[in-house]
Amino acid sequence: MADYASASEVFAAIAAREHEVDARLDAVARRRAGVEAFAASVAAVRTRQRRQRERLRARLGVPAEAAAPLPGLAAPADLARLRAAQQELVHAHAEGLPALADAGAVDVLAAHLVELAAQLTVLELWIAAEDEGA
Amino acid sequence: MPEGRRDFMLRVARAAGVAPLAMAILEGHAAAAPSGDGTDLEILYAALTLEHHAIALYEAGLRQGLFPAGLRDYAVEFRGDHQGHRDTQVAIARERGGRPPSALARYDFDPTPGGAAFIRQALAIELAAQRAYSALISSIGTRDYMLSAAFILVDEVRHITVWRKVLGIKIY
Repeated sequence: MADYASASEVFAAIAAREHEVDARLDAVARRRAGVEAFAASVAAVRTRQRRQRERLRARLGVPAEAAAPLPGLAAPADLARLRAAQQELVHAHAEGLPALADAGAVDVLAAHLVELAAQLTVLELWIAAEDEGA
Repeated sequence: MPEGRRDFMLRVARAAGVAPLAMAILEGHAAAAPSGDGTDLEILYAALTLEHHAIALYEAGLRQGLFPAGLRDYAVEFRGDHQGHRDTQVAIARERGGRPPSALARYDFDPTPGGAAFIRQALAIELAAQRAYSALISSIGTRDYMLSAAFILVDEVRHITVWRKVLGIKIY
């Protein structure tokens, strides 16, 4: 379990994990039918959440960071690895809440956590449906 | 006029027996709650009260065969999650010298023939719990309890998403 010490660390961890989820989801959407609507929904949520985090960043005085380059991904279109990456993103939010030390920021990231956890469940349901059909 | 989300959550919280200080936070009067161990305990008790309520609903549904056969496994799993949440919160409360509330002697759930109607009731309780945790989480002052509440919130969302899909409600 990650032990974040500051809002800056939390925001950096979230940005890195979003980056991986987005790359994997893009690869999955290009390889599988029926993923477009989910990918579009995730993208819309991502844009809004980033905007809200930027506002928090400004209010909390957390400096913006350049996004770290994404290392090469193994099996980018693998659904199970996408699910694992999404779970990491959910955990970064959950584990990051205590480090924010700001009730308003906790409210915002807890709301993001709820949306991301729902997306995680969608991926789990897809995997379960595929396993049942196999 | 249809009942709003907030009103619905407050109604379920009251029916479950949530104590006044936590009700004040749920009603949007967080500023009235002093920060500290006392408030954390009140929040723990509120969350625990909702967990007891959810466990009772799943127990009743499983005992009376109200979940469709293909969904029983989910109901058993979700009841287990709520029992785990209850046990975690009882342990945290006792560690702090608190006296966590027990389940009510009796819960009055809307009578249903089972099937989709009962799943809607399970969904309603899960939504109330999720909204309550979302409303309470920023008032928690202790790191470990905030973490625990965050992971419980993830479980509640999972339950909600599964029941929404079962009922044919949009999940993304």
